[in-house]
Amino acid sequence: MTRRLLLLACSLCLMAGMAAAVPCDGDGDGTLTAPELATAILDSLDARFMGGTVEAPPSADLQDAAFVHTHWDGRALTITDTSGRTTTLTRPLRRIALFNSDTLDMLRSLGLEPDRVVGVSKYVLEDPVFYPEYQGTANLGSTWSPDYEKAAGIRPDAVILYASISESSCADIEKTLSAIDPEIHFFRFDSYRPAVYADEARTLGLLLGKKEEAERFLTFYENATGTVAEVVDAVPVKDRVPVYLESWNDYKSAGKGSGYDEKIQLAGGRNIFGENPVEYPVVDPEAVISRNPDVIIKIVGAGETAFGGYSDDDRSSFEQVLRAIGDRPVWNQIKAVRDGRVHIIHTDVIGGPDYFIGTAYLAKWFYPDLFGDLDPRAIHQQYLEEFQRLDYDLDEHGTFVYPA
Amino acid sequence: MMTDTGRQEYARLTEKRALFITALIVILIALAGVAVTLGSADLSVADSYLAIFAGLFPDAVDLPDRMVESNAVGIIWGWRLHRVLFAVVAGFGLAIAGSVMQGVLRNPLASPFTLGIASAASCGASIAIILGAGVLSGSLLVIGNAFLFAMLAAAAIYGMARLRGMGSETMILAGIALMYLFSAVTSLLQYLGTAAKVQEVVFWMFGSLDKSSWPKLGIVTVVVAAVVPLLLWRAWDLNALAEGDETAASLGVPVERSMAGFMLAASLVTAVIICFTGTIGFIGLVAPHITRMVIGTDHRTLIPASGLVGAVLLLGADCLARTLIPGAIIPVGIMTAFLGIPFFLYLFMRRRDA
Amino acid sequence: MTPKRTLLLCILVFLLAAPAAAGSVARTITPQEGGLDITLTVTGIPVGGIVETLPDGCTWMETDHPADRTRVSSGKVAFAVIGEETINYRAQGPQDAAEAFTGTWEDLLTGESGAVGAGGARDPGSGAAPKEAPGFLPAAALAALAVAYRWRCSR
Repeated sequence: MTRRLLLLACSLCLMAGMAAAVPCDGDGDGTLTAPELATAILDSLDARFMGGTVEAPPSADLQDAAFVHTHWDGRALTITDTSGRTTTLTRPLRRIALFNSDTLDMLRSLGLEPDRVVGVSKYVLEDPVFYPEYQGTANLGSTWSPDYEKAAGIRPDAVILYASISESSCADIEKTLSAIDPEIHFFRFDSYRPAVYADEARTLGLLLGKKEEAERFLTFYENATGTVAEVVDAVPVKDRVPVYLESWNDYKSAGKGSGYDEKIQLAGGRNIFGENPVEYPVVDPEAVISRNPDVIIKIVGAGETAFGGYSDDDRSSFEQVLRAIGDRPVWNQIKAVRDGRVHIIHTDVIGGPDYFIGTAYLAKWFYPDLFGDLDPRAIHQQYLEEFQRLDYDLDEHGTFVYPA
Repeated sequence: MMTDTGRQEYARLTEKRALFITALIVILIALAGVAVTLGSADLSVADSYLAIFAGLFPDAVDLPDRMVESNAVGIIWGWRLHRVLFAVVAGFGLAIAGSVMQGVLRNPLASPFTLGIASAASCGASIAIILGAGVLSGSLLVIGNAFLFAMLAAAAIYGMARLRGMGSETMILAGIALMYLFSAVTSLLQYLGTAAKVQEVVFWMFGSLDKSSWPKLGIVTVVVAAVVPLLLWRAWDLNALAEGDETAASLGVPVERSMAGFMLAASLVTAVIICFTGTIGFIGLVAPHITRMVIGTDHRTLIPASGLVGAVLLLGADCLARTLIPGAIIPVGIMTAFLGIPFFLYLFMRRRDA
Repeated sequence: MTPKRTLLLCILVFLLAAPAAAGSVARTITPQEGGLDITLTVTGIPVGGIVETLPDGCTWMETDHPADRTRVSSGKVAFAVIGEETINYRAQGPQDAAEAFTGTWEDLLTGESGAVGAGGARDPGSGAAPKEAPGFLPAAALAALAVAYRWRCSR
């Protein structure tokens, strides 16, 4: 009777697709021990080289078993992604498709081999300067306009989507792709939000067998964010620098709960429109004048100001933007303009997975005395060379901040 | 003599209609056959049909390795097939709704959206997307709201027509008023919403078949299959209404009740389609018009024939939408809007008077 | 980005990736009284398999590798490597048979495979040399390339 119940339970689990067996797990107890792995290896070598008649495990199983034993302690891995969904895996992910290019950056920081990525969004393919090694990968479109047939055709074992934006599009992609191929695992990661950044890096490291690399990256990351946080936390709230932040559309600021507001706070500033309930309100220029911020930050990189970044080496457009702000009527009365504390920053270093570089710049601009030693450009260069594995010299290329 | 010529004329007309409908059915089947083989996955024509067969009779077919590797069966049955069928049914539904509207409102430029249904559905979708508020939850949030608001608009017009009594001109006015009302609410929501959500709303309003699925196809087919016989049964009343309110009344047609009933049926079909696809325009306007030009205005044949024309148009537009830009799918509503242009140019050229 | 720069970038990327793929196995044979002592030195292969073929005239004696990770059959011996860095085994046979040992190895994490290389015969201490070589070469090439690149760009 118990055996029948056990059989039923096992078959239910199998049907749920969650407890597929750990590969090469001889006794089926869910743990791949070293002896079991050794037996599988020997069986395979015996059958292939020694003329043995044993039934050898398929080489894919053997490689997966080696991975599971080395990185997951011989057991199935259960991880929780940023949307709170748990997935149990018994095999490593070998074919990853990403609609989220921010997570691609994070995977690169963790040292993921490029050939494990089989599909990327079109934005990755449109940026050969920053993503040279992925230029031949399949183009999956974007979250708004996905190429379902291509995504299904590359037979991914995992698809990574955003957790916090475009939720309904991501839900549609998930639903449609699972209808075509129910075997695909879906993961939701953001990889640009400060609150979950470290956790995501750890989770991805565990998922991909890159725990050590994840720790190494997080040491660098926590150093970069920690140095800022320590100093900023010591500044009392009433002494925080009032800041006006403008995104690439004129007079469009950041209100409560927006990403830019969060970054201003992380850098120790006080957003003069931080109480505004609309996420990206269009503000009245007179309000800016009357609130008299000490520092003005202007973000460029999209819309009317679609220049700068990794592919653009020309500073002159940044200069023009700076001058235009100073020329706004009566704005030369604002403290920030009078003191020359207007700074332009490109969305590439403040909007995505390298936001911590942007926060470092902001912190340095808000409190130049407290952050005399902080060198955001060095952090940026280290990030690019060591973790993004790019040969990109910031001294010669790219425009991200102005004035430096 | 006259009756003989009359009978001959009529016989010829009937023959013409039968021929037209048969031709349409043949074209539709051929187009569907082609549509199933189109897409950015690397499937040959033979593979596509084999995959369809394999999906129906999984044990009877031994799939070649390349098809297992490329998951041909999954792509066809999980993505392409229901989309093609949805295009057929949706095109059919929108076109018959359009022909009913044009008959009821006695206006060849009427469409299923004239009475504000599209704006209402967009408003409902905006509320769901931007405010996250709605009657159903989760993945049905937008669908539920779009349907509810579309039917609210239809019910409002129906209520006004029955309680106050409305002629076709008044109905159009009421429809325009509703359209402005719902558009204003939608615009306000877009102003308050975040950029990402506004983009979502805009994409929804383009109209696309990307979100089709077998259950949705089932729902739409059931509704269309239920409504069409009713319309055909009452098609003669529609012929009478097309002649004018007084003529119809003198023929014994309960004018207001009939108008309201037809309008409700057309709105229901439209609502159930656009709640899944977003607002796909021009099919309901163009298909009945084309059909009328060929086979005349007898609604007993006009309704099914324009349905077939609508199916062909929408399926054709979707095929273009999927293949025009490799790897990208243009929302089909944009495609149908472009197809409307040559049609209107043609009409414009044809008019001889001022 | 000019084509030459792209090429240099690609080479650099490949080189950076190269050290990760540097698994290898080297064999050292020391003749002893009554047989041959063979030491296999495993570098950069956390989980893998090695199959050694004993030449004609040699017979298997024993090994210090765990029994459940060793299998001997028809003149060959298979070792399952799970974390070990050296495997010692003994075979009985003439001294000149030392040249005739052959073997293949597989890295089950990266999928790579290769032939077991000679670690320097008759010299137990020379196992160290092959271990250093793989790490040095890509690094040296990298440095050279980096210098060359900077020099080009500064012109």
